Amino acid sequence: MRRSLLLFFTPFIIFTWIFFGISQKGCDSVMQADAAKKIPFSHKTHVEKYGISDCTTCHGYEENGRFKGLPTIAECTACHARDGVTTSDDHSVPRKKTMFDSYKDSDQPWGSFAKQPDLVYFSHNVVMTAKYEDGRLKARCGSCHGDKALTTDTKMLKGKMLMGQCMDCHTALNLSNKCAVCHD
Amino acid sequence: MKKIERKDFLKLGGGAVLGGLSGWVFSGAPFLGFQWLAEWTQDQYVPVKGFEKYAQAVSDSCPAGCKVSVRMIGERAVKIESKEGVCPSCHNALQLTYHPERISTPLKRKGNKGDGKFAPVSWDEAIKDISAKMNSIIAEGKANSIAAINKNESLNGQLMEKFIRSAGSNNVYYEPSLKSLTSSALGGYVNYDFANTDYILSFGAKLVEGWDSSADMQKIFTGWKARGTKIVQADTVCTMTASLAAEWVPVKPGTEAILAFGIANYLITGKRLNSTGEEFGKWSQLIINKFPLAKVASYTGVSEDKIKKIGDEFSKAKNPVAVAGKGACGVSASSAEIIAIYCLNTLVKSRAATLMKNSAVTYTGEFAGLDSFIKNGSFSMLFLNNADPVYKSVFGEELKKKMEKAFVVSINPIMNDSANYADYILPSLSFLETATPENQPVVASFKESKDTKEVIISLSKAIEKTKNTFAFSNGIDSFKISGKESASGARFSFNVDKIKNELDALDKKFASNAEYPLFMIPVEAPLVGDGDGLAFPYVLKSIDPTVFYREKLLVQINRETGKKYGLSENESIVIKSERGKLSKVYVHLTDTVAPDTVAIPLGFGHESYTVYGSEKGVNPKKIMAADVDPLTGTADWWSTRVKIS
Amino acid sequence: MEEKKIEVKMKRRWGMVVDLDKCTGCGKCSVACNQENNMPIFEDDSDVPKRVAFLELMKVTNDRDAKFPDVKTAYLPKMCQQCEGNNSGKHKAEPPCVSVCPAVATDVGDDGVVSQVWSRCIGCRYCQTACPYEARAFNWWKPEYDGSFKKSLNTEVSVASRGTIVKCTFCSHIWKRERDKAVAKGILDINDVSYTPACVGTCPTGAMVFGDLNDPDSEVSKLASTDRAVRLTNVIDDEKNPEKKKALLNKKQFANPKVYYLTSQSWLRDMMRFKKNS
Repeated sequence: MRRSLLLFFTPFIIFTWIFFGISQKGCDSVMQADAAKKIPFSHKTHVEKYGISDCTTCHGYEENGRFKGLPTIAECTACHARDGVTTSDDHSVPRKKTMFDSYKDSDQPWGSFAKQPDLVYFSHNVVMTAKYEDGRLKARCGSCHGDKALTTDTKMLKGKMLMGQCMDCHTALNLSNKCAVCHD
Repeated sequence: MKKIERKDFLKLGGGAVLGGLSGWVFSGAPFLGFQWLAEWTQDQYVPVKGFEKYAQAVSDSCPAGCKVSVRMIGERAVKIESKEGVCPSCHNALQLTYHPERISTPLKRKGNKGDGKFAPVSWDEAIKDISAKMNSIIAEGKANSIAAINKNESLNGQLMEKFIRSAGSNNVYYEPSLKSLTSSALGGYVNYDFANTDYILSFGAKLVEGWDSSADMQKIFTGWKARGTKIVQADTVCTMTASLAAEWVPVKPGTEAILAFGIANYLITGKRLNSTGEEFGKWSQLIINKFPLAKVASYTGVSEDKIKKIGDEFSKAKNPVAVAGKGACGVSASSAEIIAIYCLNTLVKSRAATLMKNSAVTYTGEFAGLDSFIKNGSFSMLFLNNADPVYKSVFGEELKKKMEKAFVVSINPIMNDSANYADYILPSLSFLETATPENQPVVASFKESKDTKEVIISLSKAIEKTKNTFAFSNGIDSFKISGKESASGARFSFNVDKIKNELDALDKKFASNAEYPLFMIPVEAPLVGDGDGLAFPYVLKSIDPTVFYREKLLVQINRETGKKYGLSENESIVIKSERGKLSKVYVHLTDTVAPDTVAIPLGFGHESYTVYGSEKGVNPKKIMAADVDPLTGTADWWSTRVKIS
Repeated sequence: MEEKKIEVKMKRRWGMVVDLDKCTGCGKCSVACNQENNMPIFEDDSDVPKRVAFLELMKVTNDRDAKFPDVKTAYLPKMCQQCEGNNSGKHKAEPPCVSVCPAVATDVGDDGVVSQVWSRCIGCRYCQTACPYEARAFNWWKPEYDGSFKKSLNTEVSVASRGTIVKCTFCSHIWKRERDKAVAKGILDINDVSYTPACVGTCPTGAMVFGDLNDPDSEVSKLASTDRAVRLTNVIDDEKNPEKKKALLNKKQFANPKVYYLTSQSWLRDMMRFKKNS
């Protein structure tokens, strides 16, 4: 009896563990947790050291109101000049980073955790400029993306961004939840 | 330790399988798995995102040169927009630019002509070979055997004309258009002042369906509606123009000219009006004798009273104008008809029709026009400048045979019936990829395609005789020599000697004919035009099922006529004319067509016009009337005597 | 300066007017719509019942009843009529298609535009059956774009999957585009956004007009209330007696479309209402 149980449960546990692991990886890819993060980045350093408090400094808008999203290498090399110094005693000077050498300015080395399928329309501009009557902003970057300001790595903070997240906020703010608001 | 037996294996295996299963289930994967499976099996394409902006472009599809805005996403052009409205050619330019069957490199023929086998070559090799051939022909003193056929008189056509003429050849032709036909018949093309006319008498000209400059005419039509301009449309089929006109005068097929003679007759004899045209006396005598009102009424089916009424209204209007040029995109008219209709304008002293010319365009060559050249001329070398005469000319089959014996170079972006018989195909650009003095190219050139202007210029530099024809070397500078329009300065003449025979022929044509009792005339579908539109999938989406449905091309026949011949809806028939027969056409019975008429759609029946345009229907030009007009040099293919079986 | 209250509630009700006396049947509306909305590409698109197109350019003639030469022709651009329905005793106002969809793939937006979310669609085609105007297209085949045709696709309209229904949405993605532009300029009120759908924007004779039916001063409102205005087979429109009309509206459901056609030709009016020539 004991032997039977041993024979049964040994592979059972091993295979549970293996398949759980494989399935996790699979789930991660569907749940968007495996977005490419080719270059390490520390928000904390940049926010504290260089006093960047406005997210739109690097995550800005086009003239026609569209959101630029994750920055391209060009945003980085704007400060970390390609022909700058690699070491400096003055810690307030952004240094040249050799990791940019293999990228073009137009490359985007990071995939987005918040990537939405093709049929979703979302306007950062509309949501981020919405104000209450007393002038407070209705939404902040961290409300949906989590507070990245003091993070030191590129790990996912809030999990996959699903439709429920949008609808909850809309319901709370008494905004329309009709399909056409976000879908085409 | 006991030995591992079969039973034990089962336990091991069972444990493994159940373990795997539980691991998979508890990770949440089944739910996500289904989602993934749905997305993976659908495999939908997601358009590439990019920075959105608008760019400006100028169309070179036709001489009108409409300005458009192009919506760009990143490097991709996704929409052509214009406040003014653009013609189908312009809209289709987007699908042309991104057409998967676009030619990417110069092609050289491999195999027999018409087989469609081509191999890519480099530009250098192509230009070298073509210029060597051309140089040797010129050196032999046979420059006149080099010919060119232009699609239209836009800058591309003007440059080709200049190039070939400076090489010493008089054989440069334009595909027949309203301007070329009227220019040859009248000594200048007619500039209609549509904005200031109050009465328009149109002889089969489908004014709002692609006639002349489609974009301009739509705007002009809006103006007519606003000002209450009266349009009287003489036409055999009740198309949109006839429906939107204040009055539709149904005429028997092809008898618009006869109606014009009748009205002229009435105005001259009944209202004692005179024309300033040369030989007016001679002409009016002929018309009065040959086409008395009774005969006109019986030929056209328009009663004598009606003819008089139209004549009265026409002459009493403040600024009336008579419009010639039967058809929409594809126009056809004999010179006798054009002259008679222009005569009406001179009779009432219309201020809305003046004759113009373009300084860089000559419509006649060694022969009066393209069709007479194809029929009677010969050439050892032929340039096709985005033209498709094999498809569009009634002499397409004859042209094929002549092309088989000559060295042919075709400049076009996608394959067409004529390019199939070329030795070299040089890929050209759509207007989105060309620069003009007003804008940069909106989209990068497709692979190795080049701007037609630059192709012509580089060819000219490689030919000894034409080395200095163009003082510039890039396309932008060629805009400097773009032709200017001015009054033609020609004296309108009735050219009686030239058109005498035509008048006789017209008389005979409409007398009854037992062998070919019916008339076949063309109609056009929106966006398809006279053929260019069919290569574009979005054009296919607009075709009405009464024109083309599931591989069947439908011809329209009046119900009474249908009854006479015992025809039923969708029945397959064969149409025979003196020139040949068309099979695989099907009947659509409708009273929007006059009796004893077969109205066949133009634009179908291409042999090699991309997978979207080929193998759809038949090309009626193959059996259409081919009497070449002496003044315009073009076959008057409009009405053809046929019989059906 | 007075602070304008920023409105978040939609007050617009989009409608369209097509003047058939001005329509020349040029077909540009059809091409513009196809281009804007990523219509799938087929080598043979002549099987009209299976054709995937939002805007069907219908050729209409009275030759069923009239004899030559008393015939006439017209072209009628037909797209989703964005019905409103009516509040009858038993049912609330909604378009026929929305009332039958088992998957809530189609719903009425706050601006009156009927949305179609293909990803919820289960492909039962009940809505296609319910639509009195045959304005809905079913993707019998996977929407495909041969080779480089993919380059002219619009990112604002998602590519549907096979087995789903698609239809005209009055280019609501262009409204979103214009909203983005307005907000970027600092115009935050949702009702300050106006736009033009692809078909209307390209009509060269101005036959197509688009606007807010809730605004009595808009061109569409004015045109829709003229004598020439007629709607495609909306049977209740023929009921002239106001009391009978009210009773009928309380008892039955009618489509109540928001697309009006203008025509001075009585044969066309009759045909559009499925009546024999008067």
